[in-house]
Amino acid sequence: MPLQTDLLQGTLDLLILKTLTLEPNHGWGIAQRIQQVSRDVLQVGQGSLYPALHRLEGKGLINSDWRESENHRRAKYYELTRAGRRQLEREISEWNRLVGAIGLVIEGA
Amino acid sequence: MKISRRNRDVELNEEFRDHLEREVQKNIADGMAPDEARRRAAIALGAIESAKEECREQHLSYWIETTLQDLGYGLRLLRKSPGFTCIAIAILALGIGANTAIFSAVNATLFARWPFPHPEKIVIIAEGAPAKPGWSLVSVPNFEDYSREQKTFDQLALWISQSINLTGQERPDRLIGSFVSANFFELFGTKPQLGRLFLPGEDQSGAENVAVLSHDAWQTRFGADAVLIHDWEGR
Repeated sequence: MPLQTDLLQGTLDLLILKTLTLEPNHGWGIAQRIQQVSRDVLQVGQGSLYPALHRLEGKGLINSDWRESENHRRAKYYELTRAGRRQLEREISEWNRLVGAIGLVIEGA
Repeated sequence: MKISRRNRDVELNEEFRDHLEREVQKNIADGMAPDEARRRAAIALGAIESAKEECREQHLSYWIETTLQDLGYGLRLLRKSPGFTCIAIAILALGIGANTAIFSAVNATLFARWPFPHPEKIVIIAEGAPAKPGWSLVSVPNFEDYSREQKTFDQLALWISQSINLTGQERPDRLIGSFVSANFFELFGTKPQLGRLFLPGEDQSGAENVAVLSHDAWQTRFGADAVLIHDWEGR
């Protein structure tokens, strides 16, 4: 069953940054990829996707420019910056720490 | 600013429209009829305008622009009712002026550092009669008596404030000054910036007339003339 993305803002940022490590992509493509890779569990609506993209761009973690896409339409592509890569590493380790801690509580307590 | 805002809005619209079109294409590829595809896509996308607004809010320039817009709007309103604006400005000016004046006075008297050592040891002694309100100045003979006979204080100095006529310039002028005993500056421990302060005995009758200028007076009335100081010192 698809999860409504009321994901914490930070988690969505993490997903976007990770998705962009492969190659630059436009908003729709990013959402599609997240949905595919998560096997339809995580479906990011454009109501949360684009504000997140704009916010990440404002922080300098991703850059954008307009390119011709595969179907010859002009689209706004986003790509990861170096700062974005560093931030991604930090967020992944934070995420692992969080998940580990929750796991401990679930199993232990 | 306006042009960049329009560009940003145009780009934002295009980005969302592109997203919608791709969703439509995907639906068609999944086998839906074009109309149905478009309808489904629109529903899936949801509230576009609020999403766009949220995107705009992410950028600092948006906030700066809206603040400036609000300011402009406020100013236009003020211009439309000049009477009200004048009264408001007058009240603000009075309030700020009064506040500044009071604070300056309080600052100078209570908060400013006194430019001599051990200010807590300095006291002012004046004469007063029980029947009369207020204090009066100490006369010179009384001062000499007090100096000779008291044992409470390290030192006493006499200070009579006086306005003084300054002649010898283009126009005679009135200065605020004081007549003091020769040990006045020694009591406070101040040092002269140029020249010297009073020597013992210069306050006795028959001694030469000597004056110490404040820095402010030296600069404004005497043109900060260093020669002047040395001139007087030579005399």
